[in-house]
Amino acid sequence: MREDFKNGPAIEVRNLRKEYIMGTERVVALKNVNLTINRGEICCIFGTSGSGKSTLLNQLAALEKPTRGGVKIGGVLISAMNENQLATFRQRHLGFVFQAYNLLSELTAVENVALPLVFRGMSKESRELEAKKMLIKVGLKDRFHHFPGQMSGGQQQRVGIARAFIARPEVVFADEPTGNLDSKTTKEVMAMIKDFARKFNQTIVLVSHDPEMTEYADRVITLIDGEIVSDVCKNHIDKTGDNIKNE
Amino acid sequence: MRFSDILRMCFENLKRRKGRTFLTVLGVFIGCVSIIVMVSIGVGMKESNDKTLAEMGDLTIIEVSSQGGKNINGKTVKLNDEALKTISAIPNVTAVMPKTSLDEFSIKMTAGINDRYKCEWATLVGVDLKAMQSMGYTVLDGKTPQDGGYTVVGGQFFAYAFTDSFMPEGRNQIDRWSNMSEDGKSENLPDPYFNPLNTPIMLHITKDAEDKNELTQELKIGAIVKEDYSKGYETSEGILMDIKDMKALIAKVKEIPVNNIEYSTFLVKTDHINSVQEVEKQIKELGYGTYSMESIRKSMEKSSRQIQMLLGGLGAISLFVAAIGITNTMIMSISERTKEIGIMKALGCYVKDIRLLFLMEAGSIGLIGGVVGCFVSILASIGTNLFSMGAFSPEGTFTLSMIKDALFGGKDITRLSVIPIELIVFGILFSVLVGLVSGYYPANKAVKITALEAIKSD
Ligand SMILES: Nc1ncnc2c1ncn2[C@@H]1O[C@H](COP(=O)(O)OP(=O)(O)OP(=O)(O)O)[C@@H](O)[C@H]1O
Ligand SMILES: [Mg+2]
Repeated sequence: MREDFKNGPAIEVRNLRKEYIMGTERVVALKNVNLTINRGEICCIFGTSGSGKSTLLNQLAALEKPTRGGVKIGGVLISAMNENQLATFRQRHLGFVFQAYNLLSELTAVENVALPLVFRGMSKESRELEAKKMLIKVGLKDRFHHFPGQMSGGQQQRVGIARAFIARPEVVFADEPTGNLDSKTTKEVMAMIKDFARKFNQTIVLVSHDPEMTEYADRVITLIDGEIVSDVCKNHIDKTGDNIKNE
Repeated sequence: MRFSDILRMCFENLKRRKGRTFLTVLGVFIGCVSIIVMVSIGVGMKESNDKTLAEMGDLTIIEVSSQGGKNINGKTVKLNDEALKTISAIPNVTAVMPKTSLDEFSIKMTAGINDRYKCEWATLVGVDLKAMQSMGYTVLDGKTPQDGGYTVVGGQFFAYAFTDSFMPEGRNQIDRWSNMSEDGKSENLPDPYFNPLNTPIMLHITKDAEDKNELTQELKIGAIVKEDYSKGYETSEGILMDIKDMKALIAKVKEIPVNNIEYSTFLVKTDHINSVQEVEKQIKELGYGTYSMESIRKSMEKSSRQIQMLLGGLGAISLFVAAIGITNTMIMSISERTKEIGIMKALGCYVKDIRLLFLMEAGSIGLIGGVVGCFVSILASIGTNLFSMGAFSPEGTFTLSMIKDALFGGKDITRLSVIPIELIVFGILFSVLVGLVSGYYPANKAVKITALEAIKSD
């Protein structure tokens, strides 16, 4: 484990509240969330539209500052970090898979996958070598120099996954990663994510409104109106994440 | 992020939006060209001003007169040997030359067999001939006489002051102006009636036209000096006599003792043009009147500086418009790239790298516009100068060396537009600066975009 990521569970959430002020109106998106996600867990945040899933994910990944409460990742209070510290933290420990793939349209598949390594200051040769290895792993070895516009949705999302995992992050966040894909591709993509996560003992936080997605998860957390109403553990992952036991 | 990666990204982005980049660069280019061309015309004006001034004479000379002025003690100031010492002691004064003249008398000169050649209004001054070298007189011919004895120094065009009394009116003079070229250079000067260096001159001094007691003195011209109006008209068509000889003459015609004779003016030489003002001020404080080219030089410099500022200002306006163009382009580009910036942040890009990226894009637009602008300005300047030098006129001849002259100038070349190397450096740096300043606000806008933008679906 890396130095600033050695303590505690993967994610710890305490008394988390998020309000949005809309003119004179106040929208409470998350009421009071307490949650601990263990290392190596594949965790699905499930709920109907508007239940606050995306809001929760955004707080967990420090994309937004919570109104109250705190989020720790790897024992580090990220909700108190400044922009600069967050950038370093994201480079080292976090990965993202987006619903709309979010590849940069002017960059080739290899360049897109290598992007997180660019920000770390890695040389062009070594980062593109890494990126090619990742693309081979996701089955795109003949799409290295294609631009996003020249690939199918499924292929783009595989590039997205390669990008999310290239820097071996401890936690990968995925908001509706298969929202734009058909069921066959969904299966492939989810299998891929699960495969990567298991291999390097990575923690995945998945957001979905689709009950089928809960199948891929070790644990399902259900949200209704900004509150956790159920927390079901299907596979027990122990604290160290070294072994995975079925129920 | 590595600097090379930021650089690559910056140029990829500029390349991606070719049309827009081109138009924005065009704006900077026009601004840069107009500033450089405008300022170069100002510099060209200054260059020709300086040449004009240099032709007017030595700019470090101050002429001092007594003018009946009074010193701080209320005494009338005198130009005597004591004053000579006081003024010589002023800092930055390198030499002082006393001058005497016989203004209130009628001075005639004759030369040749039977006094054939006559000069009715001769200019005669007494100066310290030994000080001539340190005063900056340029001897054109002969050797400066050192011990007087009525061996004198003639002005450059001394012999042209004479008329031929054997010839009828209208044809009795050598016209030294007729062959002169437009810019005042006398290339094919016609020969005068006689060679002053080997012709004895007879001096005739009388109180006025009716005076029968004429004083005559034979003079021998030992040397010829270059014309310099700052030192006096005598350097042109007059005579400079040693001051001791002159005093003796004055004593004779005025019938007063030699010791009572005052100097009529002092010529004060300073070590540098920049000292003139201060030295002049100090001499004025002593109660004397002064005259120098300084006031002319100052006013010429002032007006050329004003015109330079005006021209530069006109250029600056167009660069300002270009700056607005850059800002506009960058803001547009940033609002188009909101999502992209959000993604970059979510993937761990530092704020400072994003800021640098956008500043570099804006700076590059400035740099490209500046470099191309400077290049085109130099071509335009060469073209203008060649045109003014007559290279394109039907009778003019065009040679390659004219391009060199148009670019770097030369002794006898008047250029309309002068681009010193500093102006090029300034032009490029200023364009980059304009880019950076215009990019500052958009870059800060870009930095404020949050990683959350990556998640948002538009
Ligand atoms: N930026 C915002 N400003 C105001 N209200 C917001 C904002 N973001 C979310 N909300 C509100 O918070 C609540 C939760 O929204 P959120 O996006 O988390 O829902 P969700 O569970 O992700 O829904 P979906 O499945 O449709 O994506 C909603 O009522 C929404 O209107
Ligand atoms: Mg959502």
